[in-house]
Amino acid sequence: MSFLEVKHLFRSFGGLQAVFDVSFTVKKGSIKAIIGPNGAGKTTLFNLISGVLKVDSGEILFNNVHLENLPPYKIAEMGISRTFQNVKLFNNMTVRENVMIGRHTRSKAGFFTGMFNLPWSWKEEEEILNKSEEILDLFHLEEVAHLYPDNLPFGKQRILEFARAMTMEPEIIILDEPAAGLNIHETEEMAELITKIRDWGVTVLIIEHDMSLIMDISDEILVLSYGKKIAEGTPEDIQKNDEVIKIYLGDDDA
Amino acid sequence: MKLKKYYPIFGLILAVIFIQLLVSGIGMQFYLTQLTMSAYYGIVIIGLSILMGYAGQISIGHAAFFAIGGYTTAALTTMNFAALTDVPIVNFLIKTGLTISGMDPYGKKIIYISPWLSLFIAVIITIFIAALIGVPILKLKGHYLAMATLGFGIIIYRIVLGTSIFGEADGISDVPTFKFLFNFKINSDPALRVENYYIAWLIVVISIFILTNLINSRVGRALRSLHGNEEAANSMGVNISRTKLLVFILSAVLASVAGVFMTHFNGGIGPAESGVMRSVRYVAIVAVGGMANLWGTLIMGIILNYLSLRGYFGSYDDAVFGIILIVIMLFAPDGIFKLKYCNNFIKLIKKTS
Ligand SMILES: Nc1ncnc2c1ncn2[C@@H]1O[C@H](COP(=O)(O)OP(=O)(O)OP(=O)(O)O)[C@@H](O)[C@H]1O
Ligand SMILES: [Mg+2]
Repeated sequence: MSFLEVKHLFRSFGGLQAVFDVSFTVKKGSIKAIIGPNGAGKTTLFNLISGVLKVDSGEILFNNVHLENLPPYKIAEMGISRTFQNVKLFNNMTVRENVMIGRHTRSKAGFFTGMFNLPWSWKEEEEILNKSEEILDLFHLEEVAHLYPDNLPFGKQRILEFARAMTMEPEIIILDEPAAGLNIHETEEMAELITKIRDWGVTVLIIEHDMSLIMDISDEILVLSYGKKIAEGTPEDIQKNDEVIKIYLGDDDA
Repeated sequence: MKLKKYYPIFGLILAVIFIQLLVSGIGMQFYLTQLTMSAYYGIVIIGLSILMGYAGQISIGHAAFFAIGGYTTAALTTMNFAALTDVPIVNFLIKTGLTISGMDPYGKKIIYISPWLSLFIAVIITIFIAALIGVPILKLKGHYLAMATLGFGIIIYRIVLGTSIFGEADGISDVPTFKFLFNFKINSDPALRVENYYIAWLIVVISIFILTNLINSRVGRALRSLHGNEEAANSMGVNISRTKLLVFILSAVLASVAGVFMTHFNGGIGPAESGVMRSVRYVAIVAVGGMANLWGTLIMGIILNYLSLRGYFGSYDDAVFGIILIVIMLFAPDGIFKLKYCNNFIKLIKKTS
């Protein structure tokens, strides 16, 4: 039994095969990277796993439970959280409240409890606040906690989105290009945070174009091109793989 | 527990008492009538603020829910069951004390349903209707949702206008007194203005207490997050359709409850209350008040309704609210309490001079 297992996954948009017969597994506690040229189907693959898109066919198993075609919120409840390629924050809520949403699946207070502020929820509210403070601290966001996300520099916004996803204490976190648009320092900070959370035992699935970052942090790499898996292995394997080299440097010697 | 978030509510209570003492002190008791009505409209407004401002779901049909409450209680409490005492359910209601008996002005015996029961029935009907239309239409976004709620508002308006038990164009009058707690009475008796004023404001305070709690709770954060970004909210575990539906129902129930009490206070209800112009007025007030701003919308709701009820807008009443909507959308989309546009204006003047 695998932790996360994807079997023969297909998804097309009109006539375009965005994900074509992709299979792979992810080991618990590892960092697995998905790389490939623009339009390779990486984001589509993540959208299928997180329930944002429906699959055409194939299976996604998480701890042996089928995920395919479950709504995103159910998948979140199972302990899978994610970030987005084009950062999606709640700009109508403070940075602190953005992070607090991360505790949604880990708390239960319902509508009536909320309306009447029933005493039994006070402890839970306190727990949500404490956990959020802890995460804000860890991601160096405490100074901006009272601001609204659209007032933050882009790098901080990416980090906030990551922090929000981590507040859930997920089993797997799915990161779609977490370093895109970041400067060198911010990228370094991001890499540090990613390895840090792996050390806590959180499994990481990451898409990234920054090759040095990928080679540095990942345990395993999967290469997609035109929706198909063309290689899978350790960073060393991938660096030596002829087909991968051809795709990345290809057009010159063709 | 943090009491800080309730400070504005204490402030409201003090303001309510102060205004009553002031108005009574200067012998202008009759102002209390419009202040009472404004309070009931205020409940509709803050309920709509939760739906539109916080959860980001527009409704241009909220007058319909007000009317559903008002007409339900008006129809049930003006129906005479005296001839139907043999019908098991009527008999049951009489025995359980859920009816009220009295005499009509001609000395004929009448039995009608207790307003408490009709309030309860109105709430149940409102929940049912809100759920029934909410499930399909809350899948829509933006303009489409606006149009669907508008359509719903028009349907209710036409039903009210075309149904004889709802009095058609005349509406329903002679709605009896609602005996509130501690024998306080909700009715249009001028002698009871002060007590009616306090009952209405008590209900406002309860509503705003509930909504203040809600927006600061787990579900409140969830409903604000889906306004911020639905896809992200969903991926954080927020059940979007369920949350939207619950807020929609809550907002509908607040409008309906306001409708019930207002109808007993006025002693009747007419079709204008369910009209599209009424819904537009609510939307306009929520917009001026700053959408996601309970207090801003409440304050604007009270001020504008009060002015309207006292007739300051004359025969251009509805036009004034239309103009308010346009001006706000153009110059202060965040409502007049966020005066960003004012700063821009000052900058502009500085530049040109
Ligand atoms: N919702 C959609 N509707 C139609 N086509 C889509 C949709 N989403 C993705 N595609 C198409 O599917 C293909 C794969 O897109 P995807 O976003 O998965 O690529 P990617 O590998 O993430 O690329 P990038 O590195 O640019 O982010 C592209 O050709 C894209 O245009
Ligand atoms: Mg992508």
